[in-house]
This record gives sequence, C-alpha cells and structure tokens, in this order.
Amino acid sequence: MTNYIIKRFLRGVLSVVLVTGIVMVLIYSCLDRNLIFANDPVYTRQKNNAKEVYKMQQWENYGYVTYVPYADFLQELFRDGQITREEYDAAGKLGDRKAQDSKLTARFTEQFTRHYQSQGYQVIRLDAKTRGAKYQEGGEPRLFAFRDVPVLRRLVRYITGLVTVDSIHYVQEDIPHRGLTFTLYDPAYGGNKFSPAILGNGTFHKYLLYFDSQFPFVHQNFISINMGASYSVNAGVDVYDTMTSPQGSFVYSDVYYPSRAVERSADDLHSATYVAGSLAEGTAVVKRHFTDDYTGVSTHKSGLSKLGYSFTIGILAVLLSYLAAIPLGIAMARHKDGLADRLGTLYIIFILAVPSLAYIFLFKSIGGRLGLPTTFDMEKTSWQMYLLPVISLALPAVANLSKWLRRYMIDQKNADYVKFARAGGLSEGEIFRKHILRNAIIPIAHGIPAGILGALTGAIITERVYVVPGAGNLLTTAINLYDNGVIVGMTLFYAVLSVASVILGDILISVMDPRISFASKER
Amino acid sequence: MRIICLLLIVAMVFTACVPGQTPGSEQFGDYDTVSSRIYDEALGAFYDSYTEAKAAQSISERYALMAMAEAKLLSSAVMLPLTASGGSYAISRAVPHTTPYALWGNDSDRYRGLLVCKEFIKSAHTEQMREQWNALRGTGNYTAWARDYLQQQGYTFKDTYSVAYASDPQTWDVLATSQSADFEAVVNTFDSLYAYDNEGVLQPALAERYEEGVDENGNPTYTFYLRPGLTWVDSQGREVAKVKADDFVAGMQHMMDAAGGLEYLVQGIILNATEYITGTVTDFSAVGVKALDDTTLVYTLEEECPYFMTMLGYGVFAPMSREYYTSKGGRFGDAFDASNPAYVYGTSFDTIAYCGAYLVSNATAENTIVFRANPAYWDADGVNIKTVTWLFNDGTDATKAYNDAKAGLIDSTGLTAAATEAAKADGMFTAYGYVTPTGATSYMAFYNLNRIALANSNDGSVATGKDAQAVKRATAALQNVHFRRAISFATDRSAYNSQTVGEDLRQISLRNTYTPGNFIALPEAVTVTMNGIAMTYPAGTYYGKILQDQLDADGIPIKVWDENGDGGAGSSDGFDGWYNPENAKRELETAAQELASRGIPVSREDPIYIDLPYFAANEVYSNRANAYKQSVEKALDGAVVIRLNVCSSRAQWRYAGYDIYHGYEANYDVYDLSGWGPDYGDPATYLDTFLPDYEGYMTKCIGIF
Repeated sequence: MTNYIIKRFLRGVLSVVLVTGIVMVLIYSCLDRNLIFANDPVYTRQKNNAKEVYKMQQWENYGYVTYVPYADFLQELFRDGQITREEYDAAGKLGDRKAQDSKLTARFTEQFTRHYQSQGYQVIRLDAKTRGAKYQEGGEPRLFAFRDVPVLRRLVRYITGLVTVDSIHYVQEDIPHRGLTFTLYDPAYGGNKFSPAILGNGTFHKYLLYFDSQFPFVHQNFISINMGASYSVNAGVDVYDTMTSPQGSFVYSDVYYPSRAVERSADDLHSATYVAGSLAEGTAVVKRHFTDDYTGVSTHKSGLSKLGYSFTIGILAVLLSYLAAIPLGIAMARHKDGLADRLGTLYIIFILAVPSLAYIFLFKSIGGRLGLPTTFDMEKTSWQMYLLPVISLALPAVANLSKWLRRYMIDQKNADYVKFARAGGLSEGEIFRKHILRNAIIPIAHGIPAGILGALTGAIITERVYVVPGAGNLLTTAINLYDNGVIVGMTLFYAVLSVASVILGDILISVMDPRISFASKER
Repeated sequence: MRIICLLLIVAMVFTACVPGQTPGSEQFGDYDTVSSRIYDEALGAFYDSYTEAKAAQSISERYALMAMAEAKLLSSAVMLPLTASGGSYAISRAVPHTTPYALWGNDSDRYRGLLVCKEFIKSAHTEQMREQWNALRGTGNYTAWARDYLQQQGYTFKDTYSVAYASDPQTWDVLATSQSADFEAVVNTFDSLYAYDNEGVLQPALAERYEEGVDENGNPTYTFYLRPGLTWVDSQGREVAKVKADDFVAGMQHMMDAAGGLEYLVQGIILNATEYITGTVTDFSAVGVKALDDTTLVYTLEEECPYFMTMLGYGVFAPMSREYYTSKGGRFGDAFDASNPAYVYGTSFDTIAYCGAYLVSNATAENTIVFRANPAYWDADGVNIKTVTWLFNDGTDATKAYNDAKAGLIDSTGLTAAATEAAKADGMFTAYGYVTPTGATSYMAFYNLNRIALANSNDGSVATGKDAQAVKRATAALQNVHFRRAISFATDRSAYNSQTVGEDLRQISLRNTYTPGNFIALPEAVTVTMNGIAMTYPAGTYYGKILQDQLDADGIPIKVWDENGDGGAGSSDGFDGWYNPENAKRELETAAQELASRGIPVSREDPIYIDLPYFAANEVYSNRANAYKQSVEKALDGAVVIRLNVCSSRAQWRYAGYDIYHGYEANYDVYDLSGWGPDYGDPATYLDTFLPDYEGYMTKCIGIF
C-alpha cells in the first residue's frame, strides 16, 4: 500500500512538472509575443529605435527574453572598477553609425558584442535616425543584446525556486546578533501575554513562528512558496501572495511597536520583513515605531483572502450538494418512475440543458427579488451574501451527484446480492440503506476529495456574477492581460490540486471498500 | 511507455515552435527617396505651413497658423476623419462639469470639486447646465451657479459617490505605469503642481505660483514655489513626511528608473532626460529638475516648449516622498531593482504615501475600491464628496450597471444598447438620459499612397489577392489628390458609424477634423495672412473656426466647424461635413481626366480596385466595412470597387496596418483601425504625427517612411 502511494505520488509530481513545462513552452515560444502590445497605448506612442527598445524591455518584464543594454554592460565594468568614470562616460556615447564610433567606444562595443555573442545572445545595433543635425524622436543609436530564455532552464529555475527557506544569512549587511531567539512572550502583544514565538535576526522575516487569533492560529515563515511574480495582474506580487493575502478594509487595534510606542493602527507586526537601510533613511513614522531594519509590515484587514472566499463558498456548496443529492438520489432510485423520480429527472435535465450562465442569472434575479444580497459588499459584510453564490454553485453539483447515485443504485437493485437479501426477508428500507447505498456510494465518494480541493480553485462564473473577490477569475484575468507568471503559477496550482484529488479519491475508496486494495498480491 | 509518449509530445511542441522575430535595421535609400517625393507631392503644402506655425512668435499666432496648416492636411485628403471617442448615452446623479476638465493628461479623473445629487439629474437640466458652463467657462463661477440652480430645481446634495469600474489598478505606483486603469485610481491619491479646474483653467495646486526664466546656458526654466505646510500621509492617515521640492526630483528620477512607458513625454523637453533614460548620462543631477530649497523647484528645459505647463497633470510629473520610498525598499539609479523582495513600494494601496484629496481605505480586487477624503489635504474644504466607492462590474451583464444605478448602488453609468432599451421601456431614458460629450481621440481612415506589401507583414497568407496590375492602377489613383477626395466625399460616414453606435447616435460621434475644433481657443487676438488677405481673430476664437476659414479660402467643399454645435459653443463633431456624392463625382471626373492623360483609364468598365482589410469574424466591423463599400461604390457609380479583404482574427486585422513599423508594410489601400489622442494641450500633439522622415507617427499609415 505505502509502496503504491509513493509510486502514485512520484508519478503525480512528474505529471505536474510536465504540465507546467508544456504550458511554459506554449506561452514562451508558441504564442505571438507581439500580442502583449495589443492594448498598450504606450506602444503606439513609441517611435523609431525607442520602439524596439521598449519592446525588448516589455518582453523582459514579461519573461520572454533576457535583455542587456550596452549601458548596463558599461555600468557593470564601472562598478567592478575595470574602467574609470571618464572612460565610462566617453564609451557610452555611440556614433550614429558603427563606423562613426570613437576609438574608445569601438573598443567597448566590440567587447560587448563578443562577450554576449559568445553566450548565445543576439547583439543588435540600431543606427541613428536623423533629420538634419538632430535625432528624430526616439532615433538615438542603440546597442543591446538579447536572447530568448531557454524553456528548459526556465522550468528548472521555476521548479527549484518554488520553495525558499529563510536563513539567518539572508541579510547581506553587517548586523549584530545574527540568530534565532525563542520567546514565550511575543513582543508584538506587549511582552506580557503568554504567546510563544520564534524571532529571527539576519533572516528575511522577523517572525518565523508565532500564534495569533486567525485560522490556523499558528503561523510560520521559515518556508515560503513562490509561484511566480505577476507582471500585470498585480504587478510585482507573487501569485501565492495574491491568493492568500487578506482583503477588505483596515482593522485597527492597539499595536505595541518595538520602540515601545503603543498606537492604534492596522499594522501587522508579525509580517515584518527586512528592508535594508529603511530605519536610517525612513520616515518619521518608521523612526517612531522601529528600532531595526525590520520595518516592512503589512496591515490587518477585515476580510478573507481570495483563496479564503473561494474555499468558504466552495466547501459550503460541496456540503450542501452532498446533503441534498444523497437523499434525492436515494428517493429517486427507490421510487423509480414515481413522482419524486420524475420531478428529480426534470430538475436534472433542466440543469444539464440550460447553459449555466442562464440559470445562475435566473436564480440571481429570483434571489434578488426575495431581498437577498446579489453582490458581495466588502464594506458591509453579512452571512446572507454567501447564500446565493453557495446555492448557485450547488445547483449543478446536486443534479450531477443525484443523477449518478440514482443510476448506480438502480444498477445495484438488480444485483444478485439484493435478490438474495430480499429472499432472506430483509426489509426494503434496510436493503437500500445497508446494502445498495453502501455499494453505490463508492464511485460517488471518489469525487469527495476532488470536490473539497476543487473548492480552492474558485468558480469563474459564480464569482463573476456575484462579484465575489475569490480566486476563480485569476487565471482568466491573467490570460487576458498576458500575465505569463500568473498563468504558469495558476497552472501549477490547478495541476497539483487535480493530481492530489485523484490520489486521495483512490485512497478514500480503498478505505471505504475492503474489496479494493492497492497492495500488490502474489497470486 | 506513457511517459515516453508525453516526452515525445513535449519534444514535438519544442521543435514546432518558431523563435520570435528579431529586429534589425534596414537600408532603404531608394524607399526614402520615393517616400520623400510622395510626401512633398501630397503633404508639401501642409509641411510648409506647419513649419511656419512652429516658428510663430506668439501662442495665438501659433494656434492660428496650425489651424491653417491642418486645413492643408485635410484638403490633401491623405486620410479621412471618421469618428471621435465618446458620444454615447448615460444617466447620472453627478452634476455635469464639476470635475476637472482637460482633454489630455489625468486631471479629468480627479474627484476634487465634484457635486452629486440624491436624485438623477433630468435631461433638460443637464442640457441647461452644459449651456451655462459654456457661457461661464473661465469665470470660475460655474460651480456656484450650478449649486444654486439645482437647489432651485429641488435637488438635494449628498457627500458620497459610487460608480462601477471594470479593471483594477495593477500597481499603485503612478510613476511606474502607463495604463489608464492605474491612473484613474491613483490620480486621486496625489496632487500635481498645477491642475485644471472644472472650467478648463490651469490652477495652482501643490505649487502656489511659478515663474518662467532662462538659465546661464540660455535654457528655458520654470520655477515653482510650493505651498507651505504640505504633508505626506500613509493609507492610515498618519503623517509620514513633509512635501518638499526634492520629492518632485525623487519622483522624476524614479519615473525614469522604473521605465513605466511614459518617459517619452519628458524626452526632448526636460534637459538631459533622454540622456539619463538611454544611459549616456548616469548622474541624475545633470537632469533638468532641481530643488533649490524645501519649497523651490526648478525645471530646466532643452528648448522652448510653449505647452510645458499643460503637461503637469500627467503622472510623470507626480511627486514621490523620498523618505517613504526608501523605507519601502525603493532605491534610485543603478541601485533600482524592481525584483528585490524587500521592494514593496506601490504594490498595494498600503505602500504608497498620499498628498492628494483622497486616501484609499480598501481595495479588494474585482470587488471594491473605497476612497475617503484626506483630512490632511491642503484644500480639504474644497472636497465635497467624502467617500467615493468603486464597485466592480466586468460588463458581462449588459444591464447590471443600469439596474444598480436605478437601485441606488451606483450614481452614474453609461447605457449599453440593452440598457438603453430597458431605460426607454421604463421611462428613465426620456427623463434622465443624455449624450456624453465627445472625447479628444480621433479615428481616421488612411489611404495608402505607396502600396508595397501585398500580404500581412507577419503572415504572407493573410489579406492577399490583388494582382500587380491592379495594385499599380490603385496606387497611381491614390497618389492623385482628386481621386482621394472623391473617395472621401463618397463615404457616407453616418451610415458607417451607425453600425457601431446604432441609428440614434449615428451623427453624434462623427468627427470632421483631426484636431477637435474646440481643442484650443486663441488666448488673445491675432492677425494672420490667409491666402494674401489679413484676417483678424478675436481672443477666444476656436481652432475649428480658423481651420474652416482656410478651407473656404482654398475653395475646398468640406464643412468642419459648426458655429451652433455643442450648445452654441461651436463644434467640429456631430455632423457630416464631408459626405457629398455630387462633389465626389466632380472630383472623380477631374481625377479621371488627369489619370487618363497618364494612360490610366478609370471608368465603370475599368474600375479602380481598392483593398479594405476588415475583421470578418466580428459582426459590427463586418457591417461597417460593407456600409463603407456600398456608399463609395454607389456614389462613384462603380468606377471604384472596394475589395473587402478578409482578416479572420483581430490580430490579423491589426497586422494589416496597425502593428506595422514602416509604410512599406502597410497591407491595404484604405484602413480604418487607427486613431490618435492628445498628449498635451497644443495642436502639435496631433499635427506632429504627419511629419516626414520617420518622425510622424501616422505618416507610415499612408504608406511612406
């Protein structure tokens, strides 16, 4: 059994890597990369050589190429002390054409070209576009090198960068007392309340382990997950953070700052990260509150994260759908061709035949007339606003589950063991509950982990219609905005969830049904 | 085995993929000569008078001469103005013209000064207020008048305002972006030195006053004196720093470091901006922006720039608290590194400092953004609306915004076709509906005077089909100004436009000029010589009026200015001053004679074939192209045949003429996808696009350079 699960797990990991790899290949080499400029008003404003450079910069931002302008190359030489300030300034001035370069410039442009060509870069020299003695707009001569980032290397870099472990050597500057401290009285609560915490000095995060009142009450920062930074959906922020940061308006409380100042504020001291030099150069507020460079704090907010909302709605919908579908399926199978069966079938056909958007809108307008909130209002939250999204998510699930349950049960009804039980004198109710249901529920149970994990991915249409700030729309938004980092990150997330739910489903049915065993048997 | 299959698939995908295109520089000596010849023939007159306009002594003379230059551009008929942005139905509780008015920059997205009623404003009252706004413009009295007027009419005011929004800001760092969705949200969090008020007059904001001067090297300078006591606060309203002149220097440097895409606005204008951006100068102190002390800021320009003050409303001139930026991990110059995990400036509304009218207290993606009045704002009393709420609406439900507005969830909305129907059915439309003013962006149809490409530049199989002989004939014809005018006059633009906006609004958004006629007005009286006759125009004369006079003086039958348009203020929109089948036939006759003498007969039997690529999969664009074809062929009696060239995706359509870099890639004879909006308050922002020698952005659209 263990052996089998390990094998399944390894195969699962391989599939996830392959899926991520295929998506990367599709995005970075098969799609027309000019399309990212489709809705870019700035692109239309760029002219001449500046336009080529702009394209390169954007492509680098979006992760297609590595791009090195000549100026960066010189800057590096200057920083390493290989050239003097005068040389640096003089060598930076390109001639209008290559032949017009000064001797010094020619030497360095030659060096630049050789250096990058040997590394597989393409080196591009754009001659000046002039009109009379002046450059045209954006017509300055340009020199740069670029190369497509090889997909395989990108994949390896991505996979290996998925998890980072914080260490006391993160901080490069010289700081005293590097190390971890364990305390029973978390200073973020004023230092008097019992609350264990592990604090780091020299690490990126200040709090590596702490307790608070938010689910799951104990939090760690030793390991962080990086699924890829967003370029345009939420510029500069990692997909994982986009999905898990709390949303909504500020929650104020008395905050005990390291400087011993106590102020009413929404700052979340547990989120403190190291920002080099921030105390010395910081604002009055920073100086008033902090005593070291761990000043990067986020804020307490009143709402859940994207993932939180999606999961809450999803899990409620899963519960509701099993609670409704199992009795419905049993009733339909038991009274086959009776009233319950007919009404149930009508409902199932309605859900299957009508496009989901249509019945979601239908139930939205019915719910709206009954006075239920039809939009998720983050300023005035109430439990009622969950009702319609949960119902609209449960509707198709109920239809699907009861359809299959009914079918499996009707199949089982004619099985020999049922006839035998009936002959043995068991009551119809007993046969249904103890025998037929137990057999028929197994394929249904296989879907339970998928239902629970699937709740994490959110629901595209439902979330849109009821304006739920969940994770469901993230992938579609990212595709519309050509945010490749988010697309890859979400693909990975979805792939992991699907693989995990299939494996968990298999384990679940093997637990429920003793006839199913994954242990290899010698026969 | 299965794994091997999968690997095989991956390998196949790898090999099937073609690496991206690589740029290169081409030598087209011959092409340049041909381009110059065609340019001189078609646009020589425009170029001469435009050069003269740029050398003008005063602003008024400059504007008047530019209007006359545009008349030459329009009569050359290298392009046909089609439509303007805006011009659609809406209902609102917000009082018209109480927010800043500017056709360029970001000031028009500010909420400072906005008045909102508890009731929807009736159509008649909107109309009345617009007329009054035109009358009171520049006096500073409109808002007070509007308040009295609405109170008399029985309206009551409120201090909250809600609207729907469709896309979230992707960054809150206004200096690192060029996306309008970002600006619309962020512009209310900071103030600029000077900003436009609701009557379109530039008013001091963070600065108290300014002086123009010249430095020791002869470069023009602008010196600004900041208001005393300005403060930066964070999203929780805590004071983080004082606003200093140096914060504008920090902002400018960060803008150039972050390269968000709007740097081009200051290139060639601020001293050494281009050099710093391209990396030839690395010391930012060489760039023409300096703080002399805490309240004195000096911009040094490369050369005279008469419209410098009109650009201050752009995000690129925004201040940035240097202290706050560094405390959020921000660095300058070489040390700037956007990928540093400690660099969080601008990643959320929590990580920027505020000096504007509003603080953001909640921004939940695809749900809500809440702006609250900033108590520390220097003009806090002038902020009427205390809370502005944005509610997300992605537009999938075409009537959601309308229903939300009716229910009081939001206060104003544009009306989609479906919403208009609903509003007409329940009487809301007749009571409250109004047409939004047209915007400053102009969309045109371009004629290709030098067709070289016979297929799309990226894909040789798209939008092809004409034989070489037909191309030669079409190009020769399109090089003839009378032929171009014939097609322009033959285009029934309202029939064309009605395919997009519907029958009701077919004329509203028609534009007859390139620069909107009311874009600027003369600041003072000026006398110019028009075709040898001295013409004197009083202060306040609109650009469009002078443009019309030059066209009339040249005897070109195009009407571009309607004195009675826009509630009596005058407008170049809302009517079709080009379409005239009679004039079209007359021009075609002249063209046919001239072409016949060059051995190119043009007749119904031997028509000229004109290629129009269109997006065939889209019903609206497809109908529009057909409306165009019908009207031109009918008006010219079949002597010109429009060939509709199929593009099956938007991308293909764009590659036919929008995603091109040079005129020789333009794969069309007529193309109707491109438009242009202004960057600053001077007609040069439009007219510069038709300069020769790769300098004008639109020149390539007529097939040259």
